Amino acid sequence: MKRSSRKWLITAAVIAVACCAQRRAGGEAPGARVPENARLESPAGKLHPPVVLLDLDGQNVLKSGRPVSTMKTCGGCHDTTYIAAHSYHASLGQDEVTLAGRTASGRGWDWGTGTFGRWNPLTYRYLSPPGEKQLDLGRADWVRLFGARHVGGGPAWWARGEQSLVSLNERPENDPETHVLDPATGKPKVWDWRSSGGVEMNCFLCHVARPDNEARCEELSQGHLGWANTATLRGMGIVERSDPKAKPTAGASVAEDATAIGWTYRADAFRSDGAIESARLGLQEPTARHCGACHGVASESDEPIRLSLSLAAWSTATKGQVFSSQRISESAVNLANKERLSRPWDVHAERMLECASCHFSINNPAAYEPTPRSRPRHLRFEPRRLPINEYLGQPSHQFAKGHTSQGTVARHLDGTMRRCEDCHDATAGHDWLPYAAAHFGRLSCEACHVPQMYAPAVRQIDWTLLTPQGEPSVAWRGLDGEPSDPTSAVSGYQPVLLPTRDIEGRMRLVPHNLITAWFWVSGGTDPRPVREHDLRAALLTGTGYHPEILAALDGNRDGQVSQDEQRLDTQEKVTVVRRRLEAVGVASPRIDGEVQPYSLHHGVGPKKWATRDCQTCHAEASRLTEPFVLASYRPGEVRPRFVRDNEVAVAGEVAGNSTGELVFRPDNGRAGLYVFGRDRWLWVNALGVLAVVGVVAGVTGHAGLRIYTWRRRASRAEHAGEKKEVT
Amino acid sequence: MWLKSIVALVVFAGVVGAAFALVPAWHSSGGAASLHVVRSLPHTDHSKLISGPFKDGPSVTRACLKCHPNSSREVMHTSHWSWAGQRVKLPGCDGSERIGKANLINNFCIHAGPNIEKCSSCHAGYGWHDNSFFKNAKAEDVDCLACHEQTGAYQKGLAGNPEPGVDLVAAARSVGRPTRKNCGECHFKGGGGDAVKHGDLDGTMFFPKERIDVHMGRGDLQCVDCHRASEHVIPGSSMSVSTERLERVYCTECHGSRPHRDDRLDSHTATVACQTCHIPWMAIDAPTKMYWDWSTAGQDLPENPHVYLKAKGSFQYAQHVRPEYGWYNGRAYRYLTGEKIDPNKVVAINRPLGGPGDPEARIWPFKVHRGKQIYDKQHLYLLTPQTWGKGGYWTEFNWDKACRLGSEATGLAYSGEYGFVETTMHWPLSHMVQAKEKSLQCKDCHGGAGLMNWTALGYDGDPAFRGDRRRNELLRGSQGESR
Repeated sequence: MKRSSRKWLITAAVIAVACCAQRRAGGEAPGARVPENARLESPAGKLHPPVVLLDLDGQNVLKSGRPVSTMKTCGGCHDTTYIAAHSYHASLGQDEVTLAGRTASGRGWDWGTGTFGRWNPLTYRYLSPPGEKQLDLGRADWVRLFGARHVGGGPAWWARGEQSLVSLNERPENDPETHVLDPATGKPKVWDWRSSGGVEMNCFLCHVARPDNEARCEELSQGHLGWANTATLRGMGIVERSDPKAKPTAGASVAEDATAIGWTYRADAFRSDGAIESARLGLQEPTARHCGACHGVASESDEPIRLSLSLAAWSTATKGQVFSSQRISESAVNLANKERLSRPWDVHAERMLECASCHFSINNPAAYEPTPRSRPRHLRFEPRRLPINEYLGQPSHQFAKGHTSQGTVARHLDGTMRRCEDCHDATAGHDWLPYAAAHFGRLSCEACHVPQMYAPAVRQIDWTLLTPQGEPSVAWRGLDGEPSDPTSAVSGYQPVLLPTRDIEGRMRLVPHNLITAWFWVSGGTDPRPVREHDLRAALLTGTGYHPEILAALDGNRDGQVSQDEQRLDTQEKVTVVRRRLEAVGVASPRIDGEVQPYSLHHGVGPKKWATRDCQTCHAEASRLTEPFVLASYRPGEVRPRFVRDNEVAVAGEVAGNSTGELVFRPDNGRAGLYVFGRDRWLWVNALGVLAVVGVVAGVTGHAGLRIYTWRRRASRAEHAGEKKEVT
Repeated sequence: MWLKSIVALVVFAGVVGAAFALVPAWHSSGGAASLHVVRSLPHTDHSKLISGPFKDGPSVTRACLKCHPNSSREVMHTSHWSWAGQRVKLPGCDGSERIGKANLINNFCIHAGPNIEKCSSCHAGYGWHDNSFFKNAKAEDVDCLACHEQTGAYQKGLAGNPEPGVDLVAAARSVGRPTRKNCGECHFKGGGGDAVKHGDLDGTMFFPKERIDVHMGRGDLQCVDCHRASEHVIPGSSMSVSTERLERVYCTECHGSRPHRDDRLDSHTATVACQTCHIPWMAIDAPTKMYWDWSTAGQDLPENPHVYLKAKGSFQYAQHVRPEYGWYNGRAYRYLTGEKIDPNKVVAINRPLGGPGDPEARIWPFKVHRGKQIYDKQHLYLLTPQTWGKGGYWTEFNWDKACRLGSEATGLAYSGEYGFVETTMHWPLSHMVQAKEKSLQCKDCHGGAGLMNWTALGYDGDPAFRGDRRRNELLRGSQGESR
């Protein structure tokens, strides 16, 4: 770090301490509500020096009119190179890629651990690995598709070999680095990185008060990658579209359409010297709202929460997770018995924890404290801390993380976050719980404290047959109606408890959602999910289903395909679709199915909402063995397999039930559990009966002997008395 | 003998089995919270004890006194009778005076004195026409029916006398323990109409749902279940007419000082009044008056009782309102009639005392009623105009005349020059209590843009992150600490 920068940082830290020490005289009337922009006026906001927005060449954007470079702008003081290199939010697993089929997931086509390289049936498109014969998703399209949930940097800026994307020369035709799939022809076409620009790690997305994520995502989806970070500043009133009436032209490059798609900097937001006051940017630490932009519904406002059920709210869609202090009863969700749900969506949000309270930067001296797992046993507290100035210069953006069943990226950081037991002393609050040690040894905290999710979550997704609109069939658990309809009745769901090995090696029950997916796979030794483009080509025409498909699906011959007909539930239908796929060039298509466990660690309720009734588990109808519906039907009669790159022990069986649904039936015995009141083990029962009989026999025998000896003694004494009298 | 042994074993097994069966479940039942009120015995049926007829109110009281000979004397020692309470030093002289509703100025209808014949319709007595009332009052002038009759048809009119046509015999025969109806007739309608004055007391509480008030809604508590009278002295006092901590009703009398079974919440009780969290909203269903501007009165503008009346001026009402928060130690500053004001500043007619450095003070919720009312430009004090009756402002719309008449009634000199000045009144809230399911949560006050303006309350910042009063060095010593 430059000497001048360090000097400034030290000065800033001193000022911060001074500011904290100074008591501000209160001039306002007590009770006056804190203004909404209070955060913008916080001491932290005032402390940050004015910001000069720079472009890639280091020129003030107010003069150049070009997109903001966050790396240049923030890099004046902070080591942005270090930051971008220490962030799995940026890399998304690009630094952990391997060869296809070599990952632990069990999928023959995965070649990474994160979103970059690990396929997910929910998002479906397959990022083609280097050297792939047939292109599906090129890197540029990956950025356009996944960029909405990616902070930038990493694979959105760096190509293989640490070469920036904008400096890439054209490579062979199928190379996903420089080519994307042309949806019109199904052939690769060149992507001009120099024209589109790349996406640097977007500091604004998490650190300005009101980032405009919608504008950012729009730029990304349109391929105007270089402008995406700049568009984020629209929420702060710093930029506006050059022509508000002109919508970006789909597919147009920055160079081609610069005036129409570009952004104009609002001069009134800048000082006369070309800098922007930090208060105008509202620089701050990320809040749950910032994290929620990518991770799911996270609300801080009084506005009643509405669930926008889509994969854009990822954690809500996959787990039913909502992070908010708002009482569920005060939300706008059409929930059954809502008036009784006076608990907050998440008690930690209600108790003012932010995401960063547990998922902090791992070199943040104010937040990081080695867990008991990672410090010498003789130490209770680690007093050595990174100096604040060093942290401000190089704040690691590797955030402390847990150990989930679905998150496989940056596993080396698993367990760095504060877990329940790092903050809570369970023994202090569970004196009512019998056999507490046994419960703690077999149940995760979440097993009892996340007994129910109150938002719906995806249950199954079926890519084996698209809808006429080209979408897969998606079914949600805990939702009666369309996910886009706010009047759909929501009931939420009770998660299934699966034995899962935690970071300390304990096998404990953890609540999960299970998402079942069916899809077509092509190829033999090198299987790949059938490209969405090929699926569409095989199944659909421009106006609806291909005639062959329509004939196969339309069982009642009414010319329409009803909801019930729209599934591959007969071998004939499967054969027709397979034939169509082969006709468009898919080799050896077969249906594959998988179950991805999503472990639940949020949505924790206050203690009175935790499972406390013994009968919940220790009864014939135990919650532990309750069947968990995986799917309402089984395309091609294919039995799905569990994804393997997690620590879940699949203790149970997948089978059909009487209503034709596919269910998972947990099995306590296979989980190594014996649950009083629920399980009937013959030898335990026999042992119990023998014990009772033994005790009764023992007591009876002992009593009998005592009585017998007493009677005998009495008889002898009597006999002796008679003799005395005689003598 | 064998038989005896077997019997003994069976008895032993039975005893052990019964012991197991009788051990209480180790988990909590989680049932509804119990209410801690001792229910009163049924009231004596008076329908056969009272015969009548009664020609007027005092004749009813005479009948009551036959069996309850001390009751009138007891009532006549209470502020419900005298409308006067604590003795305070008068401004600008050595004397002192008992202050109360009878002689204090407020920023609603301003002053009862000149308008007493009308105002006394809420007096627990008969015949308060003018200032001579107390000199001549007799035991039979106490109005027993106002608080005890249960027909619901009893109505008081001018000077506190029963309205013509009231069936006094029926009313007298119906007497019983006071209900919300009895108290609410006056206390829900303070300021001249339902919900006008208090913010936490209005007509929705006659038969409230739980969402209006958990005590009255869930437990069907009557006012007197908490305000338990002894010798007709009813505990509880309004900050609008008292300055000291008199006999009050405290939540802790029933709920204890650590009622939450949660250390974090219980640690708040040293700093935050129960009401602050458990009265998150006021005027839940009925709008309450938030602002009253007398200076616009007298104009021929379109009338709307919630916006403008020629007789009264302009109003602002609000419903489902967040209270304002401030420190309060149970004592208050009170503007006394005749006290000098600075017309260039907002005049606080009352103001809670206490601050972060006061261990007795807690953060309380208030309704703050703001107004603009008449004052004497030469004497620089608030005036006491006569509004009701002949020559009153509501009749003649003449401020000068109203002030002269008012001045004669209260003895407060009037210079003939008047103006209007901004005033405030604080009304601490104690009703419309919400159960824990509806009370404020942590995030409502702490973190981000919460309800509390911490710097205005004296903190450096949010105490959730900066610590309590002791850690902030606002409070030194052992009292008032969180824990």
